Amino acid sequence: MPGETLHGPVWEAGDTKFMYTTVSISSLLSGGRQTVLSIAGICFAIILIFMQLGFLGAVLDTAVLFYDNLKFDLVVRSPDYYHFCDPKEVSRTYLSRIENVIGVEAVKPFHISLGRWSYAEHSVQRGMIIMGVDTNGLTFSSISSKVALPDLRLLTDDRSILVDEKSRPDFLGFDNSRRFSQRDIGLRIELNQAECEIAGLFKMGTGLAANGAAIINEAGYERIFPNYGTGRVALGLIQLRGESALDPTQARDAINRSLGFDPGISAPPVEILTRAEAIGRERIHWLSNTPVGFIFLAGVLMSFIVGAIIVYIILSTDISRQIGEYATLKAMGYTNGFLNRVVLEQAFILGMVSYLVSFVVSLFLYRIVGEAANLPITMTAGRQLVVFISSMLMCCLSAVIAMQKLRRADPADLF
Amino acid sequence: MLNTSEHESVIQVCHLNHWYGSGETRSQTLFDNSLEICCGEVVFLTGPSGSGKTTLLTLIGSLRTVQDGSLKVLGEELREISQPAAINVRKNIGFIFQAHNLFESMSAFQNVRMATDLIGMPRAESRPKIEHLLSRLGLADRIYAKPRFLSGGQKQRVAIARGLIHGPRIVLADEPTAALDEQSGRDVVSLFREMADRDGCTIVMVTHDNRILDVADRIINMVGGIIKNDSVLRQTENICSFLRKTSLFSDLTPRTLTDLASNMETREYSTGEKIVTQGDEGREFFMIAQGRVEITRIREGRPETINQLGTGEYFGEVALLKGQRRNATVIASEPTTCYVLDYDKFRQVLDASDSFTSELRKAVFERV
Repeated sequence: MPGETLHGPVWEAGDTKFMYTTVSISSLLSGGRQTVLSIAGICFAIILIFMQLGFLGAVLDTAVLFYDNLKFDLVVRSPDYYHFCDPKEVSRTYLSRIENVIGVEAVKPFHISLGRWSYAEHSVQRGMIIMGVDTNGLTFSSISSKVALPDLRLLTDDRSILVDEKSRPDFLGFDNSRRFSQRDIGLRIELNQAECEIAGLFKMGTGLAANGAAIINEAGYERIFPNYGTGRVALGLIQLRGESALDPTQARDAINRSLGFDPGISAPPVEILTRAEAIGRERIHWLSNTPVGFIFLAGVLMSFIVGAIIVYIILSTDISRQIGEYATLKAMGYTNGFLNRVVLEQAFILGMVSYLVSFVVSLFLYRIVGEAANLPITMTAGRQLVVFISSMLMCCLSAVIAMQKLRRADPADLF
Repeated sequence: MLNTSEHESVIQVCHLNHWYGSGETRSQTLFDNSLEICCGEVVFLTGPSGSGKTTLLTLIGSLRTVQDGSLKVLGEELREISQPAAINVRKNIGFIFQAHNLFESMSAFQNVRMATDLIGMPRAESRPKIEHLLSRLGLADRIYAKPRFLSGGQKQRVAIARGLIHGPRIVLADEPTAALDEQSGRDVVSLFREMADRDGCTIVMVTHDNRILDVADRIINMVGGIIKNDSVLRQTENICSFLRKTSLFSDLTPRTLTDLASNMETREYSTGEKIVTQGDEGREFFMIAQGRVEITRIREGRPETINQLGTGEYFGEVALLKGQRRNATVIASEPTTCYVLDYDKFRQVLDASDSFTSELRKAVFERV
């Protein structure tokens, strides 16, 4: 009987929970090729976000690359320290004073600067990171399998250098014209016009500061940089022992105290940081003191906006195309809330599908671009989450704006 | 609240005015219309475009706000109705629009199911209903087809099924048969007729399709925002066919006959009920559509049965012709239905038809 068709709340009974999805999916499917193109558009935006964040992450990763591959608990450095390749310098005497503090195992000098690489008769020179190390006791270490640590025993004299295989191929002189290889060992080149010989290879990566890196012993470093004051170092890498190693912060404070430094009273002549602090500050430096962070974050924002516009266009075209159908649903007694949810759900589906596709494509691109740019772009869980949330936010934001169009679905216009 | 029994009015329009636009561009589309539509009636709305019939339809469907006057649908006053209450009213209405508005990506079945899902009908229950209704509308082999594989007429029939599947109390339709061939159109309106007769569903449809006029109980003609004509067709038709069979009216032209019929009122009497009382002023003429009456006259203080009349016979004409008071009392001796014509109309017909006059006079002469 007719009377039985009366019901209370609309969503009380039946299998109605599937309805949203039925309507949203099917209306997306009805878009056909257009929907596919649209998803491609959204993917484009999401991939851009992935790439921008990937680059940013890679830059920050490479910025701390050397810190990552060096073994130390604390680092002594100049208060004027700018970044790893421009660390200014501190007096060597601090190193020996710190070495005497209880709990300190060793303090090793570390030199780093940019030098000029040249080969034979070529007049072209290339900038290269040159690290001067104490071959006796400094330890490189890495958790990454992609890294081949330098074998410092090969640095037998002040002419021997180790070069990074990951140096860009625009360096002159190597045998196969692509990158340094075993065949280049024994090759004679010049660093700052001082003759050197390639004694071995390592693989770490060079970051953005230069296209190549080389390691030489302390004597060789002084030969290459004759104006570099003797008795000065760029960094002192402190290794702790025993219980001190378990609490670097406390060890740092202890060293500060025993050296008579009180950062609360006057600025100390040297700065002692824990490993975590040094790495953190390096990241912040590249993020905030250089255009790098801004460029990539602006890129992320642009991609976000482009993506949001694409989603909006898809949803609003979809609504316009089916305005009569939506109006009919309204006439039948479907609420605005229902229709809004349909739109939101469409946005959600678009977001999910696009994200998954973008994720796969980005994994692939990270590898290709990372290799081409010699930048270690890794897909971190944090980045996946950030991009996922951004994608969903992008889609939902557009959905909320597109919902305004639903109001135009007026069932009174149908008759 | 939304309950009505048979013959109760489901749509009551009272002094309804409506305007479009505002300020200087404001123009009136409905002018003081009143109308009552009962349960189970099939009403056709006709009129030129811009005559206000769609406005009236959207107002009844609570798709538009009532501005002035009163409009009750299923007992619910729509003026100043809240949105949830309006939605509740709408769920009892089946809408059939001129454009089919089917979701392209959903099958015919899924499109129709949107209506049963809305009222929370379990899918196990709705499936056979939908399949049956679509089959009934000649779409048995197209139930799971997507709209793009359907012809215009088939799509329209799916839209009709969507409007009817949830067993609405009222169906509001806009040219539902316009896109259909004669046979499908016939199928649709006979389904309407069936729903009206069996379930007491009220059908209000805008149509200009004169192939289906026979289904209508009533045709309401609107012109310039005013209900110009409201003719109760089925009743008239019934009376006509009845009148045609009686010798009294056999010579009347169809036009006069229809005119006569449309002015006759149907009245029902139960056994023992007094229809005419002796001595009263005679203002009406009666025809017995069905049943039996007894005519008694009081003579010398004692009632005396002078005649008995049955189906197809008539009474009350003597007082009308001679301008006298009633000369007898008429009592229904079983449940009786009469068609009643008032004096003015009776005189008009009398003047218009010589044969009717002479026939009647002959009859009166014979009887007196």
